[in-house]
Amino acid sequence: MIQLKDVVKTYPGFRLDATLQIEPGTITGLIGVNGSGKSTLFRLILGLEKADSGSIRVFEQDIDSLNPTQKARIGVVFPDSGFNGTLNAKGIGKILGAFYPDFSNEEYLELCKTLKIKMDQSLESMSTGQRVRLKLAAAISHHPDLLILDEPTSGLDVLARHELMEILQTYMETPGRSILISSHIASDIEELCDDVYLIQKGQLRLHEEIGTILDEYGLLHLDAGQAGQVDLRGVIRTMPFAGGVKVLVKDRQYYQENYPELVLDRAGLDDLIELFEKGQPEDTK
Amino acid sequence: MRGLFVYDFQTTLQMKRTLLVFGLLIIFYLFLDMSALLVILVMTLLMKIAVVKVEEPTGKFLFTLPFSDSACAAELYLYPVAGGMLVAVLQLLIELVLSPAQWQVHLLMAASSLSAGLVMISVMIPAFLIFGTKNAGVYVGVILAVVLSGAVLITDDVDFSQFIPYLSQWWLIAIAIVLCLAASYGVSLSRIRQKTY
Amino acid sequence: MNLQISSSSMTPVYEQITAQLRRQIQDGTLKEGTQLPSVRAVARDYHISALTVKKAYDQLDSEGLVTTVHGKGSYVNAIDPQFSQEQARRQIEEALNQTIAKARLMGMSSQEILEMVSLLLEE
Repeated sequence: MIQLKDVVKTYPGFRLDATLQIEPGTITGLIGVNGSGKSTLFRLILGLEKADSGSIRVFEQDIDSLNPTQKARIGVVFPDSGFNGTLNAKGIGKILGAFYPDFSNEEYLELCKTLKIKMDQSLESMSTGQRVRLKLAAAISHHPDLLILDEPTSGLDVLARHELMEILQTYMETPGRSILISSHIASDIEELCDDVYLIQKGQLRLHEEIGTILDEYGLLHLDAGQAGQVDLRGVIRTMPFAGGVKVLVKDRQYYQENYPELVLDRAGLDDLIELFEKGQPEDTK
Repeated sequence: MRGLFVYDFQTTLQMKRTLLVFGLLIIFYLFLDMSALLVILVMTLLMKIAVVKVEEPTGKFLFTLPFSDSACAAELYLYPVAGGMLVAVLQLLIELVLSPAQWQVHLLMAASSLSAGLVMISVMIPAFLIFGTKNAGVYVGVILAVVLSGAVLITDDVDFSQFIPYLSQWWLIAIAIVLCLAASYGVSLSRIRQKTY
Repeated sequence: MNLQISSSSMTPVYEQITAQLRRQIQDGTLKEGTQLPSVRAVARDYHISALTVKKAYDQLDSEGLVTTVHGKGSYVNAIDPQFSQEQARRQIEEALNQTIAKARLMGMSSQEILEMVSLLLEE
């Protein structure tokens, strides 16, 4: 659905390098701290910004040459940009109907009702949470094949986030669709996505299936003494921590079987981000 | 392109302040006879609504919607023109009812105000795209453009009957205006193509 | 279909699913011919990755417990009690082999291993 090959974008003091692929039928997450390049990546993928070099293809075509019919297959949610603030859900529905041939007004109204969106309330008078729910309803109701969601859960409480996830999973039941979603809330990505890219200082440091991370990766907490005694295997990152060291490992089962006395946890996405931001690649002995 | 029209139309509907202004203008029109300015003002307002959506914060999201750059540029002109024509025609009809004998003068008035409006947007749309609608200096430009387009001439109590003979040479003026618009469109299109968010 | 998935357990989610489904199929809770819910439906209901569910379904397919028809779904197979018994035996043999290998690595002799097993059996 999306292919980035050797894409480079530079700004003063920042450089983004990206090669990635989003397959049809998958929900892919993008995680990283603020300023790591997530929004730049989204802007490049949507053709809002031009890369310095490399190729960006969406639906097997160069994004520069996407015609409006192809563009209509994409649905987008941005946290910082949307329809004019004076518009309300009703007006937006009319606009969507005029832009998208596959827009279904009934579904849109239904979705707005489910998401508890007041049709007469202007965007600018809504809370962040209400606004993002409307943005999502607008993005989904024209049946796009590709959803690009930049921080769609900001401002949503846990119930609303789960509701959103359910809507997205249902959306994915139709084959041939994909979602690229970014979020600061690790559980959103862990509970929804199939795979995830971690971006750090403009570089894609990790691409892994969520199942592999949650089922196989592990986080060892070693004190200074243990660090030297353990035969470390499959180390991805290490980071000094509270007098000892945190070690991110690929295969926690090895440690469960051979070093059952060590403190071992599942590794979550927040752990990954922290270790890639503040840790080192080699094991420190 | 239809989506872009609906976007602007829906936004316009939400502008309660604008509708108030229109009400006042109609009063002006009826009592102060500043007829030509009404068309120009409507076109300015509609033009601004159309251009503002292309800028931040709405522009980034807008350009993920399905339309071509050329459709976007064209709509910036067509929206104010559509509104301007509506007002001009309404004005013409009212004038014709009020004083049908002077139909040639009224026709000339309508044509002049529309022409002035077209020249005005030819100058202002690229100016807004290049300098932004938030730039105060651009509004000085609006006033200059309105003056340039001769709208002021029209509002002065000029005796229009003296211009009636010129009606036969309308095609010269028409060509000039078309060229203006074409040049303006070219500039606008290239600005939109370059725009990044 | 009823699953109890612990997201904080150290047991991989994928293993939890396969173990629970395997048990439900073998004890008849999931009857032959039942269609398992779609991968996305399970992902949605349990807040887990669809790929993990797919992996579990594929594993059960390879064990012969389930048949996946591309584009339609996964259906529970008739359990062959003998087949599953043999499967279970094979798994136990596998586990024993691994334990014996580890014990040998540690330097235990066959005698010591046998003694340990007898002790455990008496418990």
